[in-house]
Amino acid sequence: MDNNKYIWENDRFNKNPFKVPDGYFEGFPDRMLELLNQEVISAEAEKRRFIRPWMAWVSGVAAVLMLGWFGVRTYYWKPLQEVRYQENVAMFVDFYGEELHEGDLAGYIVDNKIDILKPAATEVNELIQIEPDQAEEYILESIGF
Amino acid sequence: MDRSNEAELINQFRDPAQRDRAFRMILAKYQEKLYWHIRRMVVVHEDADDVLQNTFIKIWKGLSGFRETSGLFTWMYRIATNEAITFLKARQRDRAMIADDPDDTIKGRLKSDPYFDGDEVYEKLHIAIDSLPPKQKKVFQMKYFDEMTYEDMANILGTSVGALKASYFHAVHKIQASFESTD
Repeated sequence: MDNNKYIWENDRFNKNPFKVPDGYFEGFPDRMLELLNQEVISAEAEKRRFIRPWMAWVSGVAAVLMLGWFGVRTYYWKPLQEVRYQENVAMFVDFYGEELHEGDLAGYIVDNKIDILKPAATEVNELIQIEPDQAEEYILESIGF
Repeated sequence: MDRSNEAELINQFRDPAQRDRAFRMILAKYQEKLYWHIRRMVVVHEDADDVLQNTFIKIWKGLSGFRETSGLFTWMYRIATNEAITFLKARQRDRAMIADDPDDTIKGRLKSDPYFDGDEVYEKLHIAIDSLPPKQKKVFQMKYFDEMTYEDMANILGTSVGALKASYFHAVHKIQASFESTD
């Protein structure tokens, strides 16, 4: 005799009247691994979907920064070059003393943005139409040496 | 499976070359236990199948980082329980939107499930369990159906053995009262 008070505590009571489709547990591991592989693939695709707009955003910012840099460079480059030439001329004047006057070689060099620190610069030679070996002499003559 | 075998299995899973093989072993070992636990909570086979899949997806994603502070089965059982609860809550929300759906009672679901072969007593039992407060329901299912020890239940639920015994006692009395009221 069963001493349990309740019918559902009786040993003969079937606790699990549920069934599963035939072969469910046998086929579940294959089905699960296939699903997991799809999950991995879609997770990677999701990552790419996330990275793509992020990369586009970074590229956009980089493009804007580059354009900005080129704009600034174009705008300020010329004055910077001129400042460099003016510095060069100042050195030139320092070297040769106070003899340089308006309209002389220094002005010419500055106007034509010639790098006078380059000995016998090609541009100088072309502009003053003299031979390279005569350039130094010409400059010295023009400032009164 | 003892803790050292579990640790070995988890290490194999962490190695991408051995991952699928290790996971197959986990599935072979635990899928049935987890399925029946979930099935008793959600009742219908198709729902149990969905929840079991979600459970194993979570296990796959979390296993590499599993810290082994609890046993592997305890951890998986907890995930399965949470997934089943999430599913039931979502169904409850949907049910609230479709009022008075006769097929969406526990009785309706049992009757519509082609993979249910229970008698009237079982139907009554399930209806009574379904009316229990969530904690008592969980405790009753773990003790009665899964035949777990109070110590294992305490480990999984993070509650004291005394509290679990009290919950089970209350659940049994409510179920019996439900039986008596319908006789």
